Amino acid sequence: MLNIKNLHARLEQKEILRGINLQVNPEEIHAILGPNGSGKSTLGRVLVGDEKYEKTEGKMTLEGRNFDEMDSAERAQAGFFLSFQSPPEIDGVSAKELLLAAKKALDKDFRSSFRLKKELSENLKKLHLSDEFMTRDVHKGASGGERRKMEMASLLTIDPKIAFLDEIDSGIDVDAMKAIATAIQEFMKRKGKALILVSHTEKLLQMIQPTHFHVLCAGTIVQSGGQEIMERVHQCGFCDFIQEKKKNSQLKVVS
Amino acid sequence: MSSTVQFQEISRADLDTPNTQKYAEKFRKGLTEEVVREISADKKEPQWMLEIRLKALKIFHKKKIPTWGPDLRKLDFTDIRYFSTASENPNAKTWEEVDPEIKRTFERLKIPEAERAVLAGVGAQYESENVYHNIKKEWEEKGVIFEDFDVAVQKYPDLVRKYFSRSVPLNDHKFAALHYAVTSGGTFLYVPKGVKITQPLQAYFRMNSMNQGQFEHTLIVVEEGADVHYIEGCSAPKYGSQALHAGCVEVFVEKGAKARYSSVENWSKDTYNLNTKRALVHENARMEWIGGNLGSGVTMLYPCSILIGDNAQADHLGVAFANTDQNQDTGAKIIINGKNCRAKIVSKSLAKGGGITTYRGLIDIKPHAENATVNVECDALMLDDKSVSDTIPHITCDNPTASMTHEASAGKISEEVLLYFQSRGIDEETAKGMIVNGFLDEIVKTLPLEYAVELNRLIELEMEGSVG
Repeated sequence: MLNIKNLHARLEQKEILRGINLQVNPEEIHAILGPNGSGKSTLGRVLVGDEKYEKTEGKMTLEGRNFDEMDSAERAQAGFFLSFQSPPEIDGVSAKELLLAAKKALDKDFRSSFRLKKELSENLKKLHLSDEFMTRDVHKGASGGERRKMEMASLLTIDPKIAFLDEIDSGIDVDAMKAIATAIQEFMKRKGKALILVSHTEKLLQMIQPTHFHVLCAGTIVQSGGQEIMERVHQCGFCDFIQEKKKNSQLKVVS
Repeated sequence: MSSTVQFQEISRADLDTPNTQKYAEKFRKGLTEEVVREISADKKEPQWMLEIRLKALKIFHKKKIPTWGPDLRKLDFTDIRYFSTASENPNAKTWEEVDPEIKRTFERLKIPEAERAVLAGVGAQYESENVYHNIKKEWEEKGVIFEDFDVAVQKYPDLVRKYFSRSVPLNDHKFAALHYAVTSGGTFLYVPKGVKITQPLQAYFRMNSMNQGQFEHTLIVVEEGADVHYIEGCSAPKYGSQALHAGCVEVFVEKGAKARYSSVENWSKDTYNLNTKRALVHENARMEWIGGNLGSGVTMLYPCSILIGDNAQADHLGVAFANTDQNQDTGAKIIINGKNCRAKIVSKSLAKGGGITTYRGLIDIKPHAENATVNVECDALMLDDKSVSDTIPHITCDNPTASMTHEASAGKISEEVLLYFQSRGIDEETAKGMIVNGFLDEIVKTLPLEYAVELNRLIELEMEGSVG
């Protein structure tokens, strides 16, 4: 479904992604772990087409369609969704208006603001947000937890093929975490969906049970595998992986 | 909620396409005493009115062009037609009596439609004259007067004379003097004591021929405890040659009364819009100015509220949009003399394609004005690197008990916000339109739904091609 090959990208003069390879298939949940500044959020930004980042090498495709030939809106229309780590406040535009415009962009035949309202209201309820969030300015004056829950309600409403959730669980209380986990599970129950999850907290990962784990260090994936990776990170942190990587690269230089 | 007035269908052509202008040839260009006397004679005015005109003309010749604000040096007073009439039948009471071509123009601008749906009364001015003026019976029966200003001078001379030029004096500035010399048409609205009009009244001003000038006078008197909402709309076709609008609006808000004045000014980009608007607000009264300035090459407009009574209030909400070759110099003036007065200014401006927007504000708190509260908020959004925005606030405070805040912001559309919209599948042009509408929302939502739709539509027309 989503195929990332040898992806290199930089922000201004600084190279952040240095050759990422990742293949995500339907029904899979990929958790990306890694220390701060390793490039996790950058990966999401490059995937969504943030022009601040310059892709210098590599290829990203979604169901065979090359992201290089698509702008951010077209990537979203093709089925890619990014939840923002710090979603911005938007003056004078409500979630209802924003998501109606989004639905219309994704589906030319979608016109019913009534249907959107009903769907959004149901999804807000699942995240324990009141209907008030439908009409007030998007993210305006909302807490971190409310913003993240709103991102999840948006995800359920937009219904993309694949979502990249960037620290959807940071700085939220247990109840919010549960609501978000339940929403993720509901999304994954829908047919053919896939997920990439950037997270620092073990709690959410335990609830979600990702199918794949990757450790990202200094812009490359240094280790991929299953559940055992999370346990290793939990016990020894990322130092282990970083040391291993250094060793490997030294070996490469020697050979 | 569905609007019965289809303002969203208004196109650029509806606004920019002129009608025939053969009639205009009968009227000469330029400003002389003779022209002023002819205007007065044409209207069969009382002597006092002619005297005001002649006095104003002298002041006009003496006063200098303002040396601040936008450059007015290209404005050629000799190449303007100060008076012209297109219709044989002014002040019709039904649209059937209006000249068919003129009627079609107002139909394209959705005026009769709006009248049927949401308005208590409508005036429609074409060049120097009202072609239509009507108020619904129920309000007429309550003593509300809604007339063409020229008609009111004849029918209610004492009432008009009591208020006319009492808030904006002849020597206020050069263009006020010009206005009084050649004034023609406009509205007289009188709301008797305690009458609260539940539907808005509207006047629409249309200039049609090339190099036309329009100088309508709007006089609104809201007696004690009365309540009214008055709306003005204006437009003119585009010729690539100058036109001039120097109107004047005077509002008298008596004790405990409330007046709301909303306007959407959309003159063609050839027009100099040098307009004066002022309200005298008495004890416990409230004045609200809501303005959208989209058209005109040059606009200089600073609606003014003079809070003379205790506990008087004023709200000034303004939107200005400057596109290529447009200079929108707008703002507000608040003068406070009463005790415990409150004033609020919210100004939002948009600049695009090299347009210039300026917020120019004056707040003057006089020595007797105890416990005045003034809040000013002005936000400017620039849609590209070529456009310019300035904020020029001027504050004088002679009473130490006053409380004032001034918040200003200027910037471009946040890239993060734009990316957020796009990441939801919304294309750049639609996203920018939504962000701009959102930026203006605080002001637009104070308009009746139909007019909010109209303003949004006009902004949409300006936003076309904003993605390069």
